Amino acid sequence: MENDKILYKDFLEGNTGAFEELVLKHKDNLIYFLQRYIKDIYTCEDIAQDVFAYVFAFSEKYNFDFSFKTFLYTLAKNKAVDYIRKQSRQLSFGHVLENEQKADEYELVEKVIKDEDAMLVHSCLKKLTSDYQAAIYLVDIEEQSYVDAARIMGKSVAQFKVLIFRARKALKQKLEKGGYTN
Amino acid sequence: MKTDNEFLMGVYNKAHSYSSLEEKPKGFDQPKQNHFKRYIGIAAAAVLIAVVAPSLYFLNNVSYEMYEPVNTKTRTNEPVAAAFTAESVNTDEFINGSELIVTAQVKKIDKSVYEYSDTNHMTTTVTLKVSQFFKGDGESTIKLKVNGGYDQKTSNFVPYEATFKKKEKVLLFLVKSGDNEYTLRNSAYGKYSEVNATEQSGVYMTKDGETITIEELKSRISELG
Repeated sequence: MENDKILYKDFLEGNTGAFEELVLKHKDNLIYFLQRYIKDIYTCEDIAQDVFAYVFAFSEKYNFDFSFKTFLYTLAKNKAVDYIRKQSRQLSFGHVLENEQKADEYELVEKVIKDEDAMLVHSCLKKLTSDYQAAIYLVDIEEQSYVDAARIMGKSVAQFKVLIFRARKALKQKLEKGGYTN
Repeated sequence: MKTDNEFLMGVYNKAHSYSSLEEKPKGFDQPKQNHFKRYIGIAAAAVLIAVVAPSLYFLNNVSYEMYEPVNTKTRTNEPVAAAFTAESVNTDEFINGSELIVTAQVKKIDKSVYEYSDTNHMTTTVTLKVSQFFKGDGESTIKLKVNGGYDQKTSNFVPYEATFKKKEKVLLFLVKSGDNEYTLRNSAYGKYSEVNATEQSGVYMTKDGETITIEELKSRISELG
């Protein structure tokens, strides 16, 4: 059984330490994923807290047939979509970040993206649409299967395959434009 | 950003607010006026649920289930494509995998029907007038069956496949499913909407922004033979 599922079982048996371990293990990547949809990092942090709060309050909702990560990211995506709908506008990619926010974002990226090449990919990734970013992040960085990534994004596997193909194509064009060759 | 401890405290605080919504009144030996107040509250909640919740549901439904959530973006006559096979992901594969490739204009959108009496599976037939055939041959008017629909009698809504509007001009990659009847190749991705039409090179775009021009399409079809 996956480590996450073992921790979750412990959590269900009353071990809040196991829950906290899950939170700390996944929170940074979750915030990074949310940033594919919502640019403001502090809002993403709040939404990530909401996601874990939901997991804690409704612990019985998790279905062990699926990976914990899939469950978490599906909740996160749905909450991100909820948030975007409630807002009259979303911050565009080109918005000017306050210095502190920039620093926090850089710190998060360093935690999540450890590889230098991946850092370069990340800078080009930000120029893509939210769905493209999320698709590449889930499959190529988080190493989710197509089935799980499709579930998280609320698409069928077939739709997701088309999406990831197009996302990678768009990313490749951005990278080549930036002078990066494989 | 928050420290780990601050983050965790925030999680617990928010979880507490979820839990307090679930608290039930305790004890059965409360004074009469408390019971009365409680029943008023329950009655008001019941009215709210019966009247407001259904409309809120259709406007803002977000599913937390693990299967593909219901798309309730809009409740219109416009179909949305559901994905089926996915062997084809690029233009060449779309071309090779399609039996008919046409530009057409939407003429009519029929009322949705249930495919089977005991399931929720609805389909909506869209009638289109073909303006150009790029691959395959057929009648000048074709019928496209898309999954999804809206039942006005029961207000039952099933997510559509690919959006269509009357008079919309589209480029379609199709697979034959019956006599002069077709389905979309690769669901929503088999449908492009006209963005910019000139005599020689109309530009068409899918819902996720993938574009193709008629010139490119003709060139690809010619090269693939």
